[in-house]
Amino acid sequence: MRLSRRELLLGASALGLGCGETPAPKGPIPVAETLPGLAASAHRLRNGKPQTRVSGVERVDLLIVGAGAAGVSAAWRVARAGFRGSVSWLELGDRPGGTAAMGSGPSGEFPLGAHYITLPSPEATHVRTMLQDVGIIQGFDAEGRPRYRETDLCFDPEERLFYGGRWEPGLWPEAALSGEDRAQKAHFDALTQRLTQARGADDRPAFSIPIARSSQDPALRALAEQTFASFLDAEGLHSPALRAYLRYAARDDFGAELEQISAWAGLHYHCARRPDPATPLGTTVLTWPGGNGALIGALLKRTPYTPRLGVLVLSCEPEAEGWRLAALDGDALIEIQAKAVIMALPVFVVNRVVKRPAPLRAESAPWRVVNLHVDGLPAQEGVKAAWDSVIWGAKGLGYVINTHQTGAFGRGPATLTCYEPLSTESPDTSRAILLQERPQDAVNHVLDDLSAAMPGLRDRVIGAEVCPWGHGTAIPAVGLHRVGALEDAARALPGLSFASADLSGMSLFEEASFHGCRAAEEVLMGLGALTDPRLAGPA
Amino acid sequence: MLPSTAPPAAPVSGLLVVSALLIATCGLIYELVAGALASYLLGDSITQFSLIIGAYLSAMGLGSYLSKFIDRGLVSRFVEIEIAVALIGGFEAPMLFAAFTYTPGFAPVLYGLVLTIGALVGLELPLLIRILERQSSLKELVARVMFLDYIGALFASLLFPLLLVPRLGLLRTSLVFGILNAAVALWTTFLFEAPPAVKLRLRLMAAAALAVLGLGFGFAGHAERAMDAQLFADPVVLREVSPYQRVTVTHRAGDTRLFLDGALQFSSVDEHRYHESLVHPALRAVQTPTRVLILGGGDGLAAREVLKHEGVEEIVLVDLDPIVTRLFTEREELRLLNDGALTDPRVKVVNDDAFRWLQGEGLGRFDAVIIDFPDPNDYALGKLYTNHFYRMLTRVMAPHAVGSIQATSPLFSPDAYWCIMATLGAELAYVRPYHAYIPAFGEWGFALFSKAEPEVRRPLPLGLRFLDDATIDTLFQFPVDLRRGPQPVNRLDDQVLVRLYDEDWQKLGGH
Repeated sequence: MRLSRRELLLGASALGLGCGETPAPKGPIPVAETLPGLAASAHRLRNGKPQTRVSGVERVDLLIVGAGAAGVSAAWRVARAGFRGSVSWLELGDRPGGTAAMGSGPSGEFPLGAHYITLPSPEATHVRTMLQDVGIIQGFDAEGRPRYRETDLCFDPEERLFYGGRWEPGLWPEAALSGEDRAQKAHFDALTQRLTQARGADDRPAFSIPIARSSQDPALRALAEQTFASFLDAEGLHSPALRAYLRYAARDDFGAELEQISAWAGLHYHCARRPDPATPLGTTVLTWPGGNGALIGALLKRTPYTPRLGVLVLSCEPEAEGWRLAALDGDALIEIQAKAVIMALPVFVVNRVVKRPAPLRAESAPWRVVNLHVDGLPAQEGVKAAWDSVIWGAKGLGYVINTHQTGAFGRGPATLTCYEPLSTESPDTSRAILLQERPQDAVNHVLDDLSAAMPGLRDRVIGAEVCPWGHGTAIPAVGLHRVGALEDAARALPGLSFASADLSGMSLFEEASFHGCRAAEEVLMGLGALTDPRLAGPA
Repeated sequence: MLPSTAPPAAPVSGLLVVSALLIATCGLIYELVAGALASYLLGDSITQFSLIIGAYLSAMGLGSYLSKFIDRGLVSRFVEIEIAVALIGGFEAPMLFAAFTYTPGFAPVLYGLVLTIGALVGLELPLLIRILERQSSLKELVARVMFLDYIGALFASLLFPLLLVPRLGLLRTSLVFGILNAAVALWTTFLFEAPPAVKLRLRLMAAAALAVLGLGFGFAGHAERAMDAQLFADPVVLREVSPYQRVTVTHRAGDTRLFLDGALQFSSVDEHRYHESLVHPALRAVQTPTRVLILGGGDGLAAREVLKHEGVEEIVLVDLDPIVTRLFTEREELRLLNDGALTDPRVKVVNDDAFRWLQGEGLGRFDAVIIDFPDPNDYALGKLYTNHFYRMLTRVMAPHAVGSIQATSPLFSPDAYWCIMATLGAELAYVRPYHAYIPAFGEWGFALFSKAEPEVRRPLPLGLRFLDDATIDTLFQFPVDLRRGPQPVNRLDDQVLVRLYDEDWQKLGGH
């Protein structure tokens, strides 16, 4: 017995009916803000050194500053090398992870920011090694292609797109397109397929993750000198649907508009991923209920070190033998002398802490991330569940749902992590707006944005957590990826190495972890303590 | 286009085209809605359609005749009639559903509505022609209006089956055309001269009608749920909504049926065929089924069959939905069906998602496993049919354990059935497909699975109604048209099974 009669009577919508009764309207949604401590204490940096007494001087062999993806990767790399010296580790936030941190709520873990990585290409040696170390890659076949643990691969269905009044599979609004839209998409796909396989004169891939493995061929790097928008114009790619799709991708990865990023960066998103798993997969993505926070947690378990939380580094000065750092631990001013330092902080912070002749000046995009805890999802039309839900024409990028990867597929209580880069105005303006916004207003803004696709969602929300990321992602502007620019910025000082995704000009876990591993290997070599082959050495 | 003698050519021409087309389309849609509803709800579509077309056309004739009694204020009357058609026609389907659901007399309401709408629609065209008569020659006018009227009918007859019913359903189709009708009324007030007070009154009426219809459209989803119960063939005796699904029990003449989200789970008339086939082939292949795991099967019917075997000391039954297991534990008429299996001290009920439950620790090993999940018609169910799920299952299976699974129909959804076989085969060395005929479902598919070929064949328990030792092996023979080639493995990252299942049923003509 199937639903034939019901379908005829009630139309396709009958299939999309949810199960829950409509609950009674509730009072205001309880809203929490997750980053105020971080933003408030970070902004103390601007006010200079406070006049508090030094409560002690600590001496260590190696100091790691920052426990975001770069810092955690550095710690993992140091541990993997079997380093025997003393290690100290400082982190400003109330938990490790940085923009890859996770929270925990009524439906379990959920991401506060970054929430997936793509299956690593062969060049991403460090990522493959990490994933194998934490059990996500379970082995390699004879050709060296990885076998992944099934529960870490994004479950099917991965994405759905709301347009024309219902949820459709995929992210490309196939049914709503003109012939010209399709032709231009095909043109763009052919272009990116060619560039995905292209190599430069130096025989490196044109686009690669890690970026440090990408070709330095000036002919290819010329793409870093124009905006992605002007590149598309020159290619004759004007289809509004294609531009909207590419704008979505640019905002998704960089938090920026097509006019703000270079053509090199815009193409990198589409051309740098060449996964080759042992069995053909239905996905190219690894993800977890807690987003990349789960990966951070797995890496932390593989290191003997624990970051000291809530510590703000104020300054870092060279000494005869190493470096002297001043930091605030609560109200106490502390000093640390370290033989070597891994400075795993975003560049806009590093520039305030470490004096350098030519610091990297790079812009970053503010993001409004709102976690909505729901007791269930309202009835929806079309594809009932997916990991990533995108609404065509909305301000935000949509949401990911944490119970997709637990196997609940959106049934029952869940947390929806809603993402919106504030890209339509200048980063500084947007940042000011974001940091002054009342958390309740952020929640209302997101609910309004989702309301077309998810009527009745408001009544299902039982709580919310707002994460205003003032510096969410690096913006790969014109010039940032010209030959040598980022390499200069990443160059170590004696006994001090820098690690941050900013040094790749793209906020990807793979890039942060590359610089974490590279910086760890550099300082270990300086200390004469690198015993195993490099994972993130020069190409 | 209009003769040069017609002074305000443009608006009148526009009104003519749009109004006549819309009126004709709306009129036919209301007729089709009535015919479709009557044949769905009452059956015998030839009679229903024939009677409704007859009644509707004759009522239109009556309306046309009555138009001669309208003399003054033609435009106002026209607008008022439009509003009346909009409201009555727009709410036709909701009213008919409500009548069918809540009153004993469906036919009087049906024909009352059909006659009223027919009469009102019959008034429309004569009035429209008379309104426009002053601005165009009669010859020209009649030709145009009648032409557009019949073209509108063509629109309606094409839109209705191809787009409207599949996309919107009858309820919302009816409301959408009510909204269009009300829009024609509102628009008409802007095209003709009338005293401001009259115009204001008409506009307010039209706007109110639009608002009411719009509201009705907004609540259509709600109404659909409320009417859900009426769409089962038999009287609904129990209806509960859990966080996971809608649970419905119907009963007629000794036949109790359970539906989850509208899909039949069993009919008490022939469920013994299903549950004997599901349970005994696996249980007889185990020497001593001390611990048995049942996944799904919250109705307790599989547990009832397991308890017929000697030596069973513990049954762990994992079912997602506490409402289902509670109903089959507490409700007397449902308890009778499973012989009180869920209150048997040997049966331990766990309300959890089997996918999550299998990830837990300390589950021990089972001697037999019975899998009785609903068909994989969405991804949340499809994950319970993945190779990953079967691998987790092997961890709680003793080396000699034998399992069985309901695996959809090898006749109606052959690709899905053989996909489940391929997926089982990816994780288990021994997989044997089998099938049985269950009248309520049709030809139904199962499989036995184990880590190695079972060596045990115990005699079946006494008192079975479908299986005996002499014929049970015939279930494992597949006639030619039930055999299929290999299918892909269903994986978490690529749930082919859900798509195959959906395609299989679509091939059967939208069942």
